[in-house]
Amino acid sequence: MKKMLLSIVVLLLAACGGNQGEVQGPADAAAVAQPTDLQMAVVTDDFGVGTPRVPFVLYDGPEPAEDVEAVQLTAFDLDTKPPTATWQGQALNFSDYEVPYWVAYPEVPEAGFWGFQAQITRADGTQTMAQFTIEVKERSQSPAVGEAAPPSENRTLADGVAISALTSGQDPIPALYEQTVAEALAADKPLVVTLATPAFCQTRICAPVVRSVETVFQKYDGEANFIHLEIYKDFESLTPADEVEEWRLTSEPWTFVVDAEGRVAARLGGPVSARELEAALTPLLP
Amino acid sequence: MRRRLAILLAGIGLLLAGTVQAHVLLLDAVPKPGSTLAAAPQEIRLTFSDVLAPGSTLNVVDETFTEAVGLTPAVDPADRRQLWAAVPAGALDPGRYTVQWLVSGPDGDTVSGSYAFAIAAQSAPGPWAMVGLGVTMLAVLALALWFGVRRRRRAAA
Repeated sequence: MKKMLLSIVVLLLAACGGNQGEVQGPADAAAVAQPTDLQMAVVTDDFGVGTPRVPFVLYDGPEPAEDVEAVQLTAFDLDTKPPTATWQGQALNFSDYEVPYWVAYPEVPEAGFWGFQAQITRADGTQTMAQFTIEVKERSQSPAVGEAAPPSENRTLADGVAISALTSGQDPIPALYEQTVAEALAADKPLVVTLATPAFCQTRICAPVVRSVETVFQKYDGEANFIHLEIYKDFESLTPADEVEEWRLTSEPWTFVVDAEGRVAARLGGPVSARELEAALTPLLP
Repeated sequence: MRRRLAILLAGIGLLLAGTVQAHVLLLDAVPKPGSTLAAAPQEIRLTFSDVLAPGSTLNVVDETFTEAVGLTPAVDPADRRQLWAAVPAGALDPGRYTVQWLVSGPDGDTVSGSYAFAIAAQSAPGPWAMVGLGVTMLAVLALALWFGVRRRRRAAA
C-alpha cells in the first residue's frame, strides 16, 4: 500500500514537471528569440530603383564584428500592409578593407521605404536577427548605372596645379591627377573615377577608398584610366569642388566604374575594397 | 509610419560644409544591444563618441517595421553625446524591436545605424499548466495524508 502510494506521488510529480517543460518550450522560446548583439550601419545613401548596392558594416560595440560568417537578407516592401517579403539573398563580405563590410544587391522594383531583415550567422554557428530600413528613390541623384558619366573638366597637374592642391591624401600617385574626366572618356577605355577626401574623412570607412583605387590602378594601369577627384577645391575654406555638384553627390566617398562607351557600369558608394573594385572593373576590360 | 520613417531617413547623407569628418560611433545603449528585457524599458538612451547636433533622432520599430508611437527623441542637454527618448507605458508589447538612429556630429557628418533588443513574453498559465498545478496540489495532499496516517499508526503502536 505504502509503495503504491509513493509510486503514484512520484508519477504525478513527474507528470507535473513534464507539463511545466512544455509550457516554457519551443513556442515561448521563439517568441523571445535572442536579437543580435551587433549594430548595423548602412554606410552610403542615394539608392535608386533596380538592384542598388547596399553596403553595411556590422559593429560589435565600437569595433567591426570579426566573427560573422554569413548574412542573409530579406527585403520587405514597407508600403504594403503587412510588409511583403519580395527578395532574399546573401550579402557579400569584403574583408580586404580596413573595416570589413558587407554588400547586398536587393531587387527593389519600386520607390519607397524598404525594410531589411538580416539573419546573421556567427562563427560559432549561432544565428541572430537584425533589421534596417532604407529609402529608395525612383532615380538615384548621382549618375545611375547605364547613364552617361559627366565629362568633368577637373583641374589636373597639366594645369600647373600642385598635387597637394588636387588631393588631401599622403603620398599620392601622380597618374591619378593627370587627366580630366572628359579626356579619359574620349580615350575609349574603361574608367574608374573616385570622389573622396582622404584627409578630411578620417574614418576607417571612407579614408581607405583612394588606397583601394591606387591598388587596382597599379594592377590595371594602361588597360583602364583612373582619376581621383578631391571633394574640396580649397582645403582652408573647405569649399566643395565643382565636380561634387556635377556628379550630384549627396554623400561621399563615391566611386564610379565607367565603361569604354562612357556609361556608368557600377556605382559604389561608401567603402570599396580593392577586390570589389577589381570585380567591377575586369568585366569591362578588353 | 511612412512619414515618420521619412523624417528619420531624410537626413542621411553628408554634409559637405563640414570640417574634418569623424563619424560619431555608438558607444553605449540602453537597452543593451541583443538584450532580452523582462518588461518594456522606460527609456531608450544612446551614448555616442561625440556631441550630437540638433536634429539627431531615433525611432523604434517592431518585427513588421511598424514604428512605436509616442516617443519624442531629443539630444540630452545635460550630456550632448546622448540621444534619448522616454518610452510611454504600453508603447512596447513583448516582442523583438529595432532601434534605428540618425545622428549628426559637431561637423555635420551624418551617421545612421540600428540594433535590436527584445521584451520577453509574460507566460500566462495555459491549460496544461493549470492541470500541472492541480496534480501538484493532489500529490502534496496525498503525501500529507500518508504522513498523517503513519504518525497515527506509530502513536497507536
